[in-house]
Parts: sequence; C-alpha cells; structure tokens
Amino acid sequence: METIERDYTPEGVQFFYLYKQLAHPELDHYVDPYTLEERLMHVEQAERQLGSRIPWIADAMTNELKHALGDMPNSEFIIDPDGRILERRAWSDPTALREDLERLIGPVENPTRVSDLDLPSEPPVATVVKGIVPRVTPPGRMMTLKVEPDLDSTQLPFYTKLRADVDREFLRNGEGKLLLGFHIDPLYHMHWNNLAPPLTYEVTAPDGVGITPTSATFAEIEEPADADPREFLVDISTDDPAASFDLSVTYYACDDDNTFCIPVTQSYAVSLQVDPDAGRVFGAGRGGGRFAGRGGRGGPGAMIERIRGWDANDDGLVARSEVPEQMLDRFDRMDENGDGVLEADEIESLPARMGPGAGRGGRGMRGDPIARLRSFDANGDGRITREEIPAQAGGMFDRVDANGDDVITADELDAMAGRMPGRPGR
Amino acid sequence: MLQPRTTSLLALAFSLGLATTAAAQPGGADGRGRLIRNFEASAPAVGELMPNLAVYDRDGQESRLPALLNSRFAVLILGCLT
Repeated sequence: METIERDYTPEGVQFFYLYKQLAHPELDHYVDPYTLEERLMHVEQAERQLGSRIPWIADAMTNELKHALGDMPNSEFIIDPDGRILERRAWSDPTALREDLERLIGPVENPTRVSDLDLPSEPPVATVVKGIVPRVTPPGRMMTLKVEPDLDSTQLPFYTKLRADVDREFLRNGEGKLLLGFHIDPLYHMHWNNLAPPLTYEVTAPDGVGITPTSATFAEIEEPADADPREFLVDISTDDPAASFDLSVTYYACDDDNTFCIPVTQSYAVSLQVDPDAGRVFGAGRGGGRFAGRGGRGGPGAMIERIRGWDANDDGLVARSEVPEQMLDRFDRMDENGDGVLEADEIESLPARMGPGAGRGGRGMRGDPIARLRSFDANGDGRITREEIPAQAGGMFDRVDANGDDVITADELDAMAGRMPGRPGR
Repeated sequence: MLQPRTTSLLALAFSLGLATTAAAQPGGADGRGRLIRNFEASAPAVGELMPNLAVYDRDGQESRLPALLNSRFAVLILGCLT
C-alpha cells in the first residue's frame, strides 16, 4: 500500500486509512477503546507502528461508517471525484489496487518497490511482564456480549477494560458460562501492582438473571507486578434474552512510571446480547495454542499471535495478500512449503525456523534489534548480508556492520549485543 | 437454577434472540463466506455515492466523509491496530 501511495499521490490520488474497532482484541494486548479520545490514541499508535504517510481518519464510536461500508475489517474502496465508488474490495489487495489505478489513472514510469521504502515503524506498546497469571480456559467457543461502560461513574479513564464472553450453551439454552475478563489497556502504560489489594468485581443482576458468584476477588499473585488479564469464569442463567446486568469493579490503577497507584471503582452495564463489533480473540475457546501465555509481549506466543493477526478473513490461513507490505520480503521464508499461504503449522513453527533470537525473551523480535537482525539470516549460515535484510533495517545493519563490508558476522552481532545497555550477549 | 419446562421454552426464545446474533461475530460457523456475502449485499455498490457519515481526524475534528474526499480520486482502506 505504501508503494502505491508513493506512486499515486503525485498523480492526485488521496489515500486514507479508516480506523474502526479492533478486528482481533488482545493481539499485542490492545483492547477496544471506550471513547473517541481513546480511539484517537489508537490512531496515534497506529501511525507510530505502521510508519505510514497515509493519514488515518477515525470512524465514530458507533462504527457507523464500517457498518455502512459492508462491515469488513480490511476492505478498500476507490472513489471518483464525484464521491462515487469506482471499485470496492472486501479485502484490501495492494496488487489489485495498483492494477486498478494503472487502469484508471495510468501507469507510473518507475514504480516504487518495497525495498525503496524506509518506514519509521515502531513496535507495539510494551507492557510489563505477561504470562505470570494463567489464562482461564473457556468451555468452548465464546461470544462477546455488549458492554457499556458507565463513563459518568468516574473521572478517570478505564485503565482496565471488561470483556464479557458467554458460551454457546448459554446462547442456546439460557444457561452456561460467563467469562469476565478485565484487561489492562496498554495505551495507558499501567500494570497490576500485586502488593496492592487485588481486583474485585460485584454484579447486580435483575430478577431472571442469575450469576454465580455475584462477587469475587482475584487471587493473590506472588510476582510484584504483571499485566495479565484478571479473569473469572462464572455461571450464568437467564429467562430474558433482552436483559442486562450491572457490574462494578474495584482495582488499583498503577502506572508503569510509578507516579501513582490509586484505587478505582468503575461500572458497566452488560447486555445479554452478542456484540457484533467485538472482533475475534485468537485462541479463545481453542486452548490458546502451544505458546499461549508464555514469554510476555515479545515471546514466541506474541510472534505467533501477531502473524495470526494478519489473517484478515479469519479463514485460519495467512495469504500473501494479507501480509503487511513491510513483511512481504520475508513471506517466502515463512511459507515453508511454498504454496503461497501460511498454514497453522507453518505459523506455529516460525519462532523455531526464523532464527535463534526470534521471539525469545521479553523484548521479542520486533523490540530486540539484534534478534531481529539474526532472523534475517535466510540461509542460516550465521552471516547476514545486506541483500537478506529489508530496506528499513538498513540503518541498524550499518551500525552493526563494523568493518563496512556489507556482511554482518556472528562476531559483529555479539559485539553490538555487548554494547546495548541492559542486554546480555548471546 | 431454571426449571426444565422454562428451559425448553427458552430454547426457542434464545434461538430467535441471542443465538441469531451470535453468527454476527467474526469467525462464526460460516466464517469467510458469510462476511463476503454480507459485504456484497450491504456495501455501497460500484457507481453509488459514499455514505455521508461523520469521520474524525487525528485531532478529533469531525467532518463528513464526502467533504473530506475533496473532489479528487481517493482510496479508502479500513484498518486498525490488530
């Protein structure tokens, strides 16, 4: 998309990304915003992460525009100067888009290549260590209920956000399981201070809605701090599908800079209706996968989650057309059997296949430049040539390639690792 | 705990009430095909005008989508952080 923008903005074409609700909540620990201000924080983070020149605009919090445009997570539209649709595509496809613009506007003389780009992209927001508190295994596939935060109940942001999921038994028969998950919003840079009293929730349900237990306090955690969700799997029953219940939660909001740690009580109204805009959580209802809950943001699980997140059409496969442009040059190495799509086993084996540093430790491949460089060693000979790396890693390559011979050796990698503060050598 | 008779009556209510909306979430039983069919049926068709709805720039300034497009060719791509 970025190369197309470079080529067709000078031809008078405008490009916009439209930010709407999350397609895959919890991926990179992001959770859906509650207010427009929070959605705009997401936009700023998307700008930083993608490093794109394409401006973002945001949908209203009711997701009106997404609904009006066919409710797809990653659709694209070409619009003429009269505001009429010239092309529409359910899934964004840069190759097809370029062909469309060549036909509509005309071909460009020297098309920009991905290797010409130098996108100043940043990794996702870091959190304190995750994987301390085991995730609750739901009884099966869960569906998310509509949750309405009571924004008037507090002057403070909702530093943690509730996701309320029910199982299919409840949807079929009115009796089943409810998973209450309280997720730290990473954009506020908070953590659970486990030296403070743990989170407590309390439900107030109308007649005809049964939730057991109606209140609970999360377990004491030995680690002094973590950022794992606080989850409660409870029983739920109702004879009124249109009912809702109130929930209040009390927790200590503690920022990562240790400037405040205060008790917060916030309230929600939870409808028993499924929320069609809630997105799909990877791993929910299917055991979480091999790496679930391990290694924090940068662990192998995070790497796998991120790649699964490219599966825009939710078919369980990651096709080349779904891979972010800046990662396309690595697609062939990821696609072990060369069939043009990443199957589940290929994705699961990526941390092992993509180099010894990939996904290891708390910083992860994207956050750890040395591990990231190692992962570019396509032929596994322990040396990284300039041809093996994407253009945007060129600056790092130059810093590590001490003798300037366009080859990074294991010794040069070790030397750089030793120079990085707080990072042990190999 | 609900009584059995009540529960059986509820099954119909839920099939009409809650369970039908369950299919609206991504990754449902029909997955990709359902999403595509919904898009083809509900998105504005080629030749139709883009909807006149509100959008917000990074500073929170509201504008209407057609006004933003500014009488030029435009490409609009939906996306998010995940």
